[in-house]
Amino acid sequence: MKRLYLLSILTVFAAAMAVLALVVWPLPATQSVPELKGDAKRGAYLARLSGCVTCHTAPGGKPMSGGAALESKFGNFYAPNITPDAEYGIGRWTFQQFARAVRQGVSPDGESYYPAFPFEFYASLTDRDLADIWEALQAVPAVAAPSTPNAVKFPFNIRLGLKPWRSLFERVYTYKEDPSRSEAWNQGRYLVLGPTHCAACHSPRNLAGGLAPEGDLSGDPVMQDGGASPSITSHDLLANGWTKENLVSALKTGVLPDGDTLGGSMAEVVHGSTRFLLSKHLDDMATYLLDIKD
Amino acid sequence: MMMLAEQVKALTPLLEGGGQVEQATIVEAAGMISMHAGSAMTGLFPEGSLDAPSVARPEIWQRWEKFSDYSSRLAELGDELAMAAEPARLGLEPTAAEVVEQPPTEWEAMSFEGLMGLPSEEQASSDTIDSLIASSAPSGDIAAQPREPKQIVAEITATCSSCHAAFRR
Repeated sequence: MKRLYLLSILTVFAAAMAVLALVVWPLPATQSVPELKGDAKRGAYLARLSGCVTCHTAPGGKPMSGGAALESKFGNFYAPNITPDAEYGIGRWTFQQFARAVRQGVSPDGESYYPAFPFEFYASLTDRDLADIWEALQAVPAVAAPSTPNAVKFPFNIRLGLKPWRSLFERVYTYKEDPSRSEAWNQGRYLVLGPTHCAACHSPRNLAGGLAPEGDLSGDPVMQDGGASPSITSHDLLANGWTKENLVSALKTGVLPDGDTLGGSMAEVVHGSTRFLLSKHLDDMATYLLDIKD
Repeated sequence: MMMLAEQVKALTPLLEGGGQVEQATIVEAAGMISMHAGSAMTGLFPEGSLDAPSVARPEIWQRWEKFSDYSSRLAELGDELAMAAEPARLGLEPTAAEVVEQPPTEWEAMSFEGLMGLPSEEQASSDTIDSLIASSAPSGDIAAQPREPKQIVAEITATCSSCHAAFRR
């Protein structure tokens, strides 16, 4: 009996120590961002390009007032209301809090966001990009509607657990120019590996949901939503008959070279994001994806 | 289905900024889409037909009404596209003002409202594929609310995508 009592005490103590360790486990240090005057239209374009509009707007819903379920094996995630509403949106946030949320994945309350929010890719956004997106969000009508809470299974619903996850699996994309390649190739790499976050679906993930090393676009046979994404490496794209022209066309229209149409989540990506992109940006993305030498 | 893909392929330039398609091509493609959609399409899937190799999923019978809706809508869109394929609306005969004025650049043609999906812009009612389909002109209302061929073709591809996402392996 005494041994059982001692075991219980030790268990409680170990659990308390584990919780304490998670509480004090550090998140990325706050980066100060200069208070630039943003351009709302450029911010709106970036919000389209980065998938903000698609994820934060439910079908038939008001822009940026909260999105549809992002299904995963951990549960369903819902992008929140990010309109300027003071009670339900981000109306009380400061620009500094917004920048930390987007680029570092940490909420104004100091909690880590789930990586369903692709902050690992948004880390590459510049200060100006952030100022522009912030300006765009301020110009969207406020919507006084609560966000749908995430429906994540235990133990993944314990946000403190994201701290060690980030230490072990977080892969922040940092833009590095390759001076040996063309401007178009470098711009395309930035778009593909950065804000458009193609790797979020086209990179294989481990059992914990962590991304493969940077630049791995070899496809994910077991995506979070139960589907599968194809490889989009230059080798595989070229082997499957893709050219710069038909790749740009598919990203602009959702129509494949044989006239078939994209289905599943990629159809939503085209409809909500890539069809809005400037031709130059689509050209750049295709240049990088197909590894075209200039 | 391969025949439908060929028609969509022929129409795709309309969705690529500035692309044009000859009127005769649009009319022919629209007619083929109408002819092969609707009951002609649902008739390809009698119950049990998936015993043979097929890319269709059994859900097609569990949600037959939804599949029929997609198929019927595609036929309506084919009809609407045929009506919309008139030279003036295809931009084949530009007005005097259009000849003189410089067309806007891609960037100039974009607006804050359009990008954010706010009202008064095309995207306002078509921010997702399903809402694009849901917001389209109802059957019989084609003449009252004429649309450009580009808009109709966009809905045709969206309808195909939604159907594929729901019922194709």
